Amino acid sequence: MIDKLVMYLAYPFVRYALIVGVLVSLCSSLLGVTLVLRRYSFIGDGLSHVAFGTMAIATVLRLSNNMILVLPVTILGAILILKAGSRTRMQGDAILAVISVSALALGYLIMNVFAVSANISGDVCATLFGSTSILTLGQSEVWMCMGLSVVVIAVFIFMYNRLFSVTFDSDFAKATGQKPERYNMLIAILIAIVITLGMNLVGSLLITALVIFPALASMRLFGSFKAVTVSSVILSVVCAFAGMVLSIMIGTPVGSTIVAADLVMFLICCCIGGLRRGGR
Amino acid sequence: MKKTVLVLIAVLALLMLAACSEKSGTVKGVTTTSTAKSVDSTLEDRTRVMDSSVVYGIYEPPTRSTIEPEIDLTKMSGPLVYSVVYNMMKDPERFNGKIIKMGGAFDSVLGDDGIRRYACIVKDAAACCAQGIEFKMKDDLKYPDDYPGQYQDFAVIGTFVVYTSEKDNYTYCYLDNAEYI
Repeated sequence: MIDKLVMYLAYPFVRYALIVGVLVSLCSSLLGVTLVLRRYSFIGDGLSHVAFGTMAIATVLRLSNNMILVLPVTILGAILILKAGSRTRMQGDAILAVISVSALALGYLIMNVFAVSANISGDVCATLFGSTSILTLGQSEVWMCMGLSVVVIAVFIFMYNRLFSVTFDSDFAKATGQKPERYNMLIAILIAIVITLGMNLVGSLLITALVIFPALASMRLFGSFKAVTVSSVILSVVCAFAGMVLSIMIGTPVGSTIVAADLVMFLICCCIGGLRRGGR
Repeated sequence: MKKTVLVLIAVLALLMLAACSEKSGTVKGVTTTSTAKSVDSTLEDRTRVMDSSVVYGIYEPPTRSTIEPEIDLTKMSGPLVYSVVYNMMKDPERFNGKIIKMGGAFDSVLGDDGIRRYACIVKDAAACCAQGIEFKMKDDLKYPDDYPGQYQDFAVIGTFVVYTSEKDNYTYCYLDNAEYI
């Protein structure tokens, strides 16, 4: 088994997949805590559908690098979702549902009407579920992922205190002179970046799991924001790494295996949390 | 009373959905159901093609190569095989000249130029994406007698060769001097 893994690691695309997988899971778990606490868990789902729709357009336009179109449009989608919820007659969750399903349906429709490959279902399946996309990354894509991940981590670390205050008490943050709307926008942009990166790892439909499962699992074990955040990062990275190695070794789709690992970890943490509460 | 009526309607709807098929039959180990003869015959043909390994078994060649491969895809898991083949297509120069051993489904197609070409097709773990590599046998074999059945599982070893076509300036690749294994 170890010999087989060492043989696999000799291939550069396997090393790239592990590096990008760890970075994406790290970034998604950092933001997941804030999103879960602010009840924005499904914003990741909506944005991933927007990203899918944009990717369909990029595919039809035969862009050599989809990220050129997907990243800015997803960021724009995140900003629109947040702004639209506060200023229109429709509630935020309804806006999210409208944008989400519209983007998914239109994306699939565009890919079918303007088909550029012989295997549309395969392309759609790979994008939605991330079966082997992470194992087909080139060096330039890895560098881009690394750069964007560093940006997300750096912003989170430097803005940690402000994000903390906006997450728990935005009214107090406003009263003390901070601008919660700007930090909400920043969180939306960061999550759009993470969603775009995460699509390669687990696909559009499963990216929400990468964001919320580590945060929810950590909340079963710890009470403080810092402890939950650190624990969420550790759990997310461990599950992503284990999921990828497992899928490569036993031959299962990468995205689903990672999410299954996250689910198992979440259930274990629920049990541990339940036992600890029962013991008190 | 209202609740009882609603429950009855729901149960009836469920029964109607479950009772859609009228005819069922077994075609070479795969059960198909259909309400029309034309659909049955189409399903039968497609099932026969897709289950050719069920019908013919894994291809057993008359002779097997004893060459040791540099890259052995037959010992890798599904996602890795697909990824290696994908990367071979994406960055073929990296694999140029390497002895590759691979297993997959046999496919053959007659080109517009009248030349028949043969390929080994591999799929990813979810079986929704497929990649293939063309191969040219070392010996002068006759199609279809000396080749596997369409979509039949087989294994082949050969040297990965990359070349640029003078006709269209595209880069192509195939397994040269291929032998069954």
